[in-house]
Amino acid sequence: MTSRNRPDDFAPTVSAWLHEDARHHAPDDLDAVLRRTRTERQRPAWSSLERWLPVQTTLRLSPVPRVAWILVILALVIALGVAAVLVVGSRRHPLPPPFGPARNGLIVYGGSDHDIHALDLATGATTSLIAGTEGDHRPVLSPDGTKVVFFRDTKTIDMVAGGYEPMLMVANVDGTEVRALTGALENGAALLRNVAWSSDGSKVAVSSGPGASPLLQVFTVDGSAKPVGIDVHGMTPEYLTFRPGDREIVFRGFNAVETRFYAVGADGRGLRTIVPPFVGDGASLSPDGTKLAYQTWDGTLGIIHIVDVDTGVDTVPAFDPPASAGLADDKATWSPDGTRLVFVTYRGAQAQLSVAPAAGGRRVPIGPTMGTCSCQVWSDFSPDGSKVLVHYDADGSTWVLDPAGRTEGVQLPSHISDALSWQRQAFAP
Amino acid sequence: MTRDLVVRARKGDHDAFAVLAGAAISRLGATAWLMLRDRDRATDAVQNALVRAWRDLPTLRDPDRFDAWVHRLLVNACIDEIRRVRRRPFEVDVDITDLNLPFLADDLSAIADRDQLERGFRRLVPEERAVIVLHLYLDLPLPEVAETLRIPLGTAKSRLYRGLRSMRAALDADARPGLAIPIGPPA
Repeated sequence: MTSRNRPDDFAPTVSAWLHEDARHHAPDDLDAVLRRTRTERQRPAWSSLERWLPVQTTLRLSPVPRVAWILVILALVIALGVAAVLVVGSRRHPLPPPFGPARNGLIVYGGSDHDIHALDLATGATTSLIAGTEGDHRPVLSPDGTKVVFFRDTKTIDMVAGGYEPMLMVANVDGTEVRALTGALENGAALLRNVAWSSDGSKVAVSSGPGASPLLQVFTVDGSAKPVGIDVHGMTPEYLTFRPGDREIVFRGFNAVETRFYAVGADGRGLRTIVPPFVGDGASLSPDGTKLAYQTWDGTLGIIHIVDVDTGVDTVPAFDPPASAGLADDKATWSPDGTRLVFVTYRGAQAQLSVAPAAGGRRVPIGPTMGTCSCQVWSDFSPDGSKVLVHYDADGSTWVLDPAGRTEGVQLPSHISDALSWQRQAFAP
Repeated sequence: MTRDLVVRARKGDHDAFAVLAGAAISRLGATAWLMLRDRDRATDAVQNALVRAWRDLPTLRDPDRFDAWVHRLLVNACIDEIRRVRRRPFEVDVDITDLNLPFLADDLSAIADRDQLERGFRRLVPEERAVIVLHLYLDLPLPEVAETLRIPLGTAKSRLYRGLRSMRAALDADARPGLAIPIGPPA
């Protein structure tokens, strides 16, 4: 058993690593410090308030406003709230179709502060949707853009994986009506590929329990029905996607021996293999739910495949230039209209995004190049297909890019911690 | 002894400050390295913290708090440095391993674990790094960490909890079979 399997001794593991690491790297340049301090004058003692007063900064002091002011402010807030409800309630917000192109709305993301935030790309304004002391991560918006699910850490430690078990939460996209959708999931890592909305937004599928007892469960968002547990025959499910119509869920399943793609009825019946055992990465279902893009990797060649979900017919789009020993492709994602793919291309020691027609054709490199590592690259098209959003784990940067590669990208705020979710809205009538 | 040196340095005795700085610089350097993961920037942060310590020493009210006070100056210098560096291109220090040494499976595993810990640590926000380094490297009890950083004890606890959880998540993610598949060609 390695150290990561014993949650109670992780702090000593980190402590030991810090002590060992510090031994080799501690800089020590006293002469340079003393050269500078010899010519530096000291501040007079009286210039610091703390020198005279016992300042306790860990105690937060709140000013006591006058009661009259409180009442006035309260009345204003209530009046504004009532007005807002009346205005908002009087409007009818059309919803976007459950799949295909839609208008770009807010970008919702998990921040490095472990809260959920929203970014309005048009104004550059960010707002905090879900804040507090809990650790919240990896929001995923519903297809109609009105709700968001996200992972929240619990204090339960998974005895198999050794990580903190997350639970799945749901909220309105404005951050209201936050509630738990599941209990603590037997899952060491909360990953985007472990959760999927049904296209009508009424259900959420979530996978958990890698290792001894993998689970695929379907929860009803309004809690009106019991969760459906799906027998996945011991395969750990990931890259979950509902097919349009919500009758089937497509997923990648793996165990210690092999990896396959499957489809299963949302009621848990009819598990079938789409792609037989393969070695590779990624999975993205086309917007119409008929084709699945994935990668195979033989140790030298990384090739994007497209497989027909119903017939299992597998094709390799002919990109120009094609994948080769020096040019490997990975992690393809479909455009909302199903005509293009965005994917990661590895050239020697560099990684960069490419966009190419899904039917094959010239690939267009877009965005910055990154040094390769085992870090993740996450990318997706905007709902209207006019932009590509990408987050690089390698340096933590997030970009909005031109899929045609004609203009330079825009880098988003640095506190975005991982994958993002772009809100779909209805096009104006 | 330290108290006397602090009192003398506070009155402008540079030799006394040199002794204090000489005694502290090794730990400060290690702390800065751990927070910044970059030798040059760690050196800059230590220099800035000690220069500031010298300049502001007369304003230190309690000489017995010198150590905690200098560490607070250092942590602030490191946090400033991290925020400044994040606006510049990404660079890493590379350890050169002696390839003539025989490798054992355990060595490789330990190196992989260290690499994962390193990557997990780099992903922490500066405030979480500070709590972890002060508590798990300098062995300061959490109330003292909170006092050094001038944050409430509950905040120190939650930053420690979140930081360790994030590091653990990095290890767990790398340990998952799905991620063990090579995703790129050999460099």
